[in-house]
Amino acid sequence: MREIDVCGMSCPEPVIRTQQELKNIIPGEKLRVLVDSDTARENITRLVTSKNLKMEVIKEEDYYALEIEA
Amino acid sequence: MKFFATRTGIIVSGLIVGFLGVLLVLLGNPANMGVCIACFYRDAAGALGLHQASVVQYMRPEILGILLGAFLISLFAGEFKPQGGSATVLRFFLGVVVMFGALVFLGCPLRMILRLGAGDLNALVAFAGFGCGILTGIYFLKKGFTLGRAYNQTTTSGLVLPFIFLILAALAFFTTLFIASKEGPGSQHAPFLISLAAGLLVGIISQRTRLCIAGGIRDVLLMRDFHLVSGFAGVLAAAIIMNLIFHKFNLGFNEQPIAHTEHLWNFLGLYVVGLGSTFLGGCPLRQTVLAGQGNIDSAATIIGFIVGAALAHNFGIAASAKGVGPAGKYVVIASIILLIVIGILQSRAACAFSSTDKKAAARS
Repeated sequence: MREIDVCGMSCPEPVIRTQQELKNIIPGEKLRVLVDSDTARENITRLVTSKNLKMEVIKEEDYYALEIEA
Repeated sequence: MKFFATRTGIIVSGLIVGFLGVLLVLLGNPANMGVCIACFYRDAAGALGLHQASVVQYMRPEILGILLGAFLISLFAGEFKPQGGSATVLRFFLGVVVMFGALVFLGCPLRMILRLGAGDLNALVAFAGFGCGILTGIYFLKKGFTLGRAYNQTTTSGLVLPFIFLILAALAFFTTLFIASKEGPGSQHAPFLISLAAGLLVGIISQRTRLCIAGGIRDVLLMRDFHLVSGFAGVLAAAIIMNLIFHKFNLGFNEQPIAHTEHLWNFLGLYVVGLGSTFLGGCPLRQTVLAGQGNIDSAATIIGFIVGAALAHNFGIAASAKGVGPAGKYVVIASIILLIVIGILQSRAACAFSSTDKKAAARS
């Protein structure tokens, strides 16, 4: 599983980094994105929905792990 | 609370902001200036005596309300999160520059929409500049532009700006301490408590919906995502309807209130705002909301807005209805050059950040 950490990055860096990483991903592979703001989580959710991908949101102590299935 | 995250939620919120934007004018605010983030920080800077432009001095309750509204709702929603340390001084500088650009055009992106909604076509020229600025910003973002990560900070740090704004609101209501214009736009204002309440409401809905004028256009250009821009459309639609109802709609370039017709400088002024706001991650409204929810970097940006406004009026950078002076033109050109240099340097810096900053460091 690939992982990127976009905690603490300001808008729209989290979603751009995720978008760039999704381009490199091979079908069947998972991408785990670590975010710590609700805005970034919502933006990435919209990106994933627009690409018809599945995503699981795991709430950790003070951040979210977003697991995207390509 | 989930309603605000929906498409309908953000459109309704935009409609409310647009409605309030015209309502406040009907109740006494300057024309097409029901809500203008740049103008209101400028007026507040004047009220504090940081500049001596006697026609634009008034402690605007709307701007205090927006930050405090965002602060209160973020506490309630569990989103008050003190963070900072992402190129704080650079953000202060970007705040200064964004204010220069806004005051050359005579308005922030929100006033640009409200001016458009009143038929002021100069705002359309500015809108083109704003879009080009955002496109330039996206170019750098795709090249890896970053201001680096923000890290968790103490609650005390996050409370500083909300606390200052609360004190300013109390002093403005209970005392006559602040300077207030006797003529000109600064003397025109809606009743204090109505302005404050409108500001609180705008702050609350902007925090919940993440309303951002720069972000709306950026998301369309970058990802074909029309979510945020629907808020923009809501503001515009409500402003047009309200202005038509109250006979304040006047289509054209000439004789528009608190506006000039120097197309090149309207375009370049908001080009600076578009590019600067994309680097900052949000327009002046969004920076105000983020500062309310504890973001120290946005707080530094706001102090930059206030300092920028004071400098703009002390050194003849700000435009007036008569047009843009030489200082304003030089400063806009210099600002564009500096922003592009910052874009290049911070895109190069990105490599260093991405290789060393792993998740452990991010959650200090």
